[in-house]
Amino acid sequence: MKRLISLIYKDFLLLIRDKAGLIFLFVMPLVLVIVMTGMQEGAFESASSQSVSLLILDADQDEIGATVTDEMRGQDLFAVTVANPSTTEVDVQQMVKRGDYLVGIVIQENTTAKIQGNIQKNVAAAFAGLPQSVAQAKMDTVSIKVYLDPTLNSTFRTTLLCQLREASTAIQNSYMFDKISEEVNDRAMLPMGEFSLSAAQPVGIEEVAYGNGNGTSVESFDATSHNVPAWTLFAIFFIVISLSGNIIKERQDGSFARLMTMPCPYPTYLLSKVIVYAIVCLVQFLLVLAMGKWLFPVVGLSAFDMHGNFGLCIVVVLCAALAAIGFGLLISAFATTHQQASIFGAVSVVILSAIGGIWVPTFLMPKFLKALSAVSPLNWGIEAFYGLVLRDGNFVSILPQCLLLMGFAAVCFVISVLAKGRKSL
Amino acid sequence: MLSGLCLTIGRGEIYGFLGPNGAGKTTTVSILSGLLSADSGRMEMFGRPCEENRKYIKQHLGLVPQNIAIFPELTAYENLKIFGAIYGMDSKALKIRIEELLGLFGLMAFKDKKVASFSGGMKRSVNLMVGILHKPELLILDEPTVGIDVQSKVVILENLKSLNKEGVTILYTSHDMEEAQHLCTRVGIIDGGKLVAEDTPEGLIAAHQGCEDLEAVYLRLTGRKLRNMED
Repeated sequence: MKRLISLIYKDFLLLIRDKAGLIFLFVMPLVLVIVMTGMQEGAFESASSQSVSLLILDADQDEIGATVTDEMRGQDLFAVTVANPSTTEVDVQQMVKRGDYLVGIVIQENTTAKIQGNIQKNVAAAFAGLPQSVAQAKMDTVSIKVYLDPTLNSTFRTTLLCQLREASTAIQNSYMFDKISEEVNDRAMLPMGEFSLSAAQPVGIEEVAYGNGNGTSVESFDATSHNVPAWTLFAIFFIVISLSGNIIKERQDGSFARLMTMPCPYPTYLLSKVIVYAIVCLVQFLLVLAMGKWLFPVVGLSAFDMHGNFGLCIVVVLCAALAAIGFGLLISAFATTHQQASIFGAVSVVILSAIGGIWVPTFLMPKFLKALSAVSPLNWGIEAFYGLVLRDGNFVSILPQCLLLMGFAAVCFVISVLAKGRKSL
Repeated sequence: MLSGLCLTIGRGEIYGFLGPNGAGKTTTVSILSGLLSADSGRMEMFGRPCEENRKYIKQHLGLVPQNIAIFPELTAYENLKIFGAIYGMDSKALKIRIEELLGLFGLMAFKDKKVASFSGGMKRSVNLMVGILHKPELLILDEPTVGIDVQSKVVILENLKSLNKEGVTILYTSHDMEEAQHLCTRVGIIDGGKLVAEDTPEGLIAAHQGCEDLEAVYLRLTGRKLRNMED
């Protein structure tokens, strides 16, 4: 025990005397978490609160035009401007081309009348027992033109087109139901308005956010709930550079070999590193957590909330710390110089974090990258955090990820100990 | 590579282990201190087989490696305290011993300074202090005076002599023949992994006609061809 304590004391002193290393270990994650959260929060905000400028030219001046305009005005996504009557379709094209508006919608003259006419022809043909083709031959072509700026986000584009389709289909269906109801009432000789298909109840959509399968609503995904755990994990894994560098330095200057000639068992030497760097990881987490909880609201970002899962977050941090320490030992077992360890450590952690969903959440990744993310220990860590922060998970729900992290640590430890055996001291 | 090396060092001796670069000195030291395993052969220390008694041997052996194998970012005192604790020394006894050594080597005024700021000689002194901190029975020194000024060398050699007087057996490797001639009670000359001569310095000089000192004997036995291989 005395030996272990003195080794821990030695590693602790070496760590705190390395000022550049301290900045690297503790300041870098704080800077990263606030910068990345700010950037992503800004991006999310622009997607949710900054409206897309939309110009509607309503040449129809009837029900379709009014419905589409109301529908678009009802969406927070769009800042709707109705073009004055003198505006032409060419003007709308030009204004979108110039970038005055991101979207231009042109509802042609007589659109409502044409739709009503088409429905009348269709229903009449159906009730007269005529083939569909007879009615179709007599129908007018109806379309709503949409001009789009090429910079428009594809999500907005899809949302816009869905809204337009929904609005036009709703009004078309309404006309159709009214016409069919009218025909049915006429034929059945029911009193006026007795039968109406339009009175049918639409299918309701109920939104429920699940937390751990118990139906309780939990935090929705935002930049803070992703970035605080993400950059904590990144910082935890970045200790591999400091750890492997420290081990290689001790190997190169002969102090490691000297320790091995003393009554200092190799496992005790390793354990001191594990304890010191696990404490470093915990401190990193607490610093990032404190920043997310208390500083973020001050700078206008949403505060980080663990939903009372602090203890389980510590479990995840410790599992990730063990995985990172194991990885650091593995690197130090194969690298022969500090430079090799630094370069390999930094590059591998950046790659593992990129594919693991630290920079960009995995659900935004293409399929092949999403599949690849499953091999990254940082992904196991972030998934465990998502489970706790977003889904209000419990110990059982994070156990698979924790086991993966510990398994990874165990494999790294075993390989590095075996590799140490083959290396000369 | 060592071949058929047979060394017997008696209690209380200062044994000089001399040889050109690549002769096998550091390999021998590494095997004796447990850093390397011999492919074959038998080794005993303190009358005990090494393989079975490694823990005991580590406790009673002091090694002063060729490198300054201490932590430069720590102070002299911190280095000694940490290495002493690893030897399992009692804190009170350790404190007294550290102060005794710092006084002996004239480093008391520098005890709270980082080793990184020390001169080469001061670093070598701390390197030696770590090796003798726990009062070992056998002290192995691998070129302990290489690259230091005369004053530091004198301090180190005087301390080695007084340690020997206290009963510490010393195995010492060096390229400095004059130093070895004055310090050692017996020397062994190794070349190509084999022991080519072994006797007291005076005995070796007498056995080689025309050689006035140990350096002349050494050159006669190992030749004048340059060696550049790391041991």
